[in-house]
Amino acid sequence: MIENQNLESLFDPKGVVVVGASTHPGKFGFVALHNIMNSGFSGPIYATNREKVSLLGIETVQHIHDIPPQTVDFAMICIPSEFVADALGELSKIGVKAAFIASGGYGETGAEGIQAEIELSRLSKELDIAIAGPNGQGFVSTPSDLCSQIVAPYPPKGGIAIASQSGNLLSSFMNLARQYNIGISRGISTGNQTCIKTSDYIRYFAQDAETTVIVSYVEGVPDGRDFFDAVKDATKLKPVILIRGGSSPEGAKAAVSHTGSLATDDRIFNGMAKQAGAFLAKDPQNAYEWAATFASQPAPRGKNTVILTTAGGWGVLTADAVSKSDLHLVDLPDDLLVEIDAILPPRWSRSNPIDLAGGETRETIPEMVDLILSHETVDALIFLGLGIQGNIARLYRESRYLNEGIGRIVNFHTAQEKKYVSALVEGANNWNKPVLVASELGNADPHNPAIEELKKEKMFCHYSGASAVSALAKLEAYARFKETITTS
Amino acid sequence: MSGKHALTEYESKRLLSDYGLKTTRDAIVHTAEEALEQADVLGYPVALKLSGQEFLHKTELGGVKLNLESETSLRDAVEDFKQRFEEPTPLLISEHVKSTRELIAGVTRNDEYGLTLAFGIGGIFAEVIGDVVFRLLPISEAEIKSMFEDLIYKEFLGPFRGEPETDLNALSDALMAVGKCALERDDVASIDVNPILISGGLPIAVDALVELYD
Repeated sequence: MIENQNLESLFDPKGVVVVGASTHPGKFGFVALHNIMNSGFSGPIYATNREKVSLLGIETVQHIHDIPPQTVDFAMICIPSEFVADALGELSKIGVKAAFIASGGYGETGAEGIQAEIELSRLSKELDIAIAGPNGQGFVSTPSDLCSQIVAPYPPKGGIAIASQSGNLLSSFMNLARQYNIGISRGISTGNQTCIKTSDYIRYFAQDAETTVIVSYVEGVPDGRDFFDAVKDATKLKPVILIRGGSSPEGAKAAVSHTGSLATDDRIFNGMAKQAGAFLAKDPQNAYEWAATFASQPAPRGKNTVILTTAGGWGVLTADAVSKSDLHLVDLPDDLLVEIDAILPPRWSRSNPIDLAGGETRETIPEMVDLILSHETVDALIFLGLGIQGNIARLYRESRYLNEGIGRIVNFHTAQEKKYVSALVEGANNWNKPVLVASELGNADPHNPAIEELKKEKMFCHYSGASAVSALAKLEAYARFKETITTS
Repeated sequence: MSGKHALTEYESKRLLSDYGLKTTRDAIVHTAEEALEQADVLGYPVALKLSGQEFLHKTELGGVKLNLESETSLRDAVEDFKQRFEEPTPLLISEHVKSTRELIAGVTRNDEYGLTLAFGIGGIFAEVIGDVVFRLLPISEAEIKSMFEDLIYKEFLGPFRGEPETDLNALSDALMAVGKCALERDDVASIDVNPILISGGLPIAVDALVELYD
């Protein structure tokens, strides 16, 4: 296990050195320095290079010992693996406590590389340096405005922490975070995990005040028991979402017992995750959707869900999804029915899903959202039909007949969409209940005014009614899970 | 890794019942006379199975005869085994349990996670149906009960064709006993209890196979 104190130097260093900075914009050593300089990190930044050059506005140093001692505690290492051991020795002398080794050439290459990793392990203990990687793409840490990675993008700030055994999969999360604006606290490509393991990151994220939800992509789990323990401890504090790659569907070959042949890798991983209180997602989109929901919505007090829809089909499908989930499509209480009757025309559905049936006026949706959430039997709201007016606005805006009169309607529809989003956000905040929105427009038309407004307000646009139900069911399940922990 | 050997059904059940698993009452017999004597003690109907190390897969060998209701059918069963299996072999005689529901429980050792407990739908179709859930050992009662919830066909445990619903506390105790045996015995390599039948709502282990390290 790695000391959390050293992981603090990794994620929130006081100063940074890029070892092996390059003048060539196509090389790792350049990208790493560029990203660190460009992300707004406020501490001192040094870079080493064999030549003394001026790079991105700083003068590089030729030797690590040219850096004043105790000014940097983190090193981003981009030099070939054969030089890394010597560099670590020098780094420890100037007070470095954590390093990320981006360089490859380790266990992934064969026997010699495995030997080099054993040496790294020894050096990490001897020099008291927490070593991340090797053979990883780096990490981001938005509380420190630190983008210490050799890939893109840099995500917005937020509460989602990610430890990923695949660097590119980490990038997927950051791309999604940029699209939906529900941001990342820390995100690390774990590389070969020679010293710092996924379980160490999970333990750190569990204690990290900047993190509200933890996501991890894992392939092999070399010390499964330690991983289980780390996840089980973490879920007591915050939700953990796991994605498993590379699991084999085969059971133990030639097992004499039925149990043995049924003991497939997936079944055991799935059971372990469940026992640890974690959620299993199938891919980054799925995991991000759940994580974004956890990061942006309050915990529901119960299962009672109301669906509010501007058109029939979506409501029907979403109601189907609720009935297959652990959530409850609550019957509308009489007093609520009476109050809704006063707002909607008589043709409304008079049941849950609440179908407005096109009966809305300027203020109908904001009033309905507030009214529904205000009722004590309602624990959560799913709203469907956002973006329809925005879609019309777009149609008119792109119309060859666009004129002043049509333009006024464009503005009206655009303003209505903003009003709806405000009502949803305020409803969730005022009543402290989850409010979820689903529309394919989140993907299909990110420039729809409703979608742009959701992004600004950091409210996730669920891919479909069913996926919103799935995310809400996770929120509810975790809220109940937390209750069992606090009461036992 | 050291070698392994399997206990017979009789030995496996005795070991597991020491840890609190409810198993069928049974005895080892060698002759028709011994079988008839034990059947009087157990009460008809009875089940008769091949015992002995070489018959671990006795079902596939046609070495299991269930629901023997009379002295005649029991005597015929003993004769049939004697004719088909030339070597004199010990036989296992058990009370016959009437049930329509077969469950499976077991323990395996996994390289990454250590001891794991399995539970699911058992019987001869266990592998085909594949409705089996795993957890790591040690395990709490609440965690065992979450396995019931995770079954695809969890209705299997409810009231069924005139039989009462399964007593989940008793089922949980049965799984706990299987787990305890593996946790307390370092020499246990694997445990397979298949089937556990549900009779009158209560679980009873009808067949078991424990593998020990040499």
